[in-house]
Amino acid sequence: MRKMEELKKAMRASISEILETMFFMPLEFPEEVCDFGQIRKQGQTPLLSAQLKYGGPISGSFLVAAPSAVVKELAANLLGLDNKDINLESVEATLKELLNMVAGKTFSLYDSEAVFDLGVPEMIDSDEVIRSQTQKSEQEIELLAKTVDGILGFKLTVD
Amino acid sequence: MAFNVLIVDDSPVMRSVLKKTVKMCGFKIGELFEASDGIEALEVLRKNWVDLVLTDYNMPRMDGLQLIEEMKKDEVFAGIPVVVVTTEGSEQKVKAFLEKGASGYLQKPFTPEQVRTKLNRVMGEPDEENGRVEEGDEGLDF
Repeated sequence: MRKMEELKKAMRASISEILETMFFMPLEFPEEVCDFGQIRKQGQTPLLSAQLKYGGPISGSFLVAAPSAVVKELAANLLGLDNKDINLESVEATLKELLNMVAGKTFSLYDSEAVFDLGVPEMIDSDEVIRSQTQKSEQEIELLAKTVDGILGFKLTVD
Repeated sequence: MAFNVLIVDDSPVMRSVLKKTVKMCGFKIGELFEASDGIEALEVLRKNWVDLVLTDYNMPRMDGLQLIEEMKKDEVFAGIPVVVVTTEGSEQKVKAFLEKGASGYLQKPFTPEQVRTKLNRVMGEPDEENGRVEEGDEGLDF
């Protein structure tokens, strides 16, 4: 239980630092339940999801999901380009890079002495993400991150 | 003095971000080269004069550590400073990078100021912010 609390704390700090430093996007963590179906509904654009597997002292998967319009804005900020110059390839690459950075920073904040191996982030089917959310587990941490451009959802699963 | 920099990362997005950051951070840049993995990086090194390499760790075909190993085997490339830019943050991983011969280490996320300070330190250049020459040796500065 304490492990999950510490992971959640590390996850929050990591998401804040990365979105603010690399994407110039201030955020807050609303207390509402993280509902990926609701994020898609509110976003009014297709929901994009990326996932990576990790291993080390603990293993499992890390996931991020956000409406494509939000990820496009993140990509524009990250690359210093106009929103209209961002293509789908850059949008997906940005979501995967965001996940990679959040996972790496989360684990180094959680335990800087341990070695974690991060897998390659991959785009996954958002319908599957929403379907799999019906079963809640104590081995999962779900966080909503609210930005001015919309909401992102993060999920860390420990096997 | 302006430095020619080679950026090695399998993600085109991260290469663009690093290019943008290196250009805007105040570090004296000459030419900027790109490669998507260690093998491509070695080809760029053979064809161009490069003063500094910024490399990702996790890459297909040849990763950042393997690239450093290959560079250390080559008489000409062995002296080129390499800074590893990665999400990997464990002290053990950083030690491994430095033991293999990396001159420095930058963990993502980074600010332009952190990039400038790190690159100036590695190249023995005075940092504009404090006007002094930074030490070349890299410690475990998290």
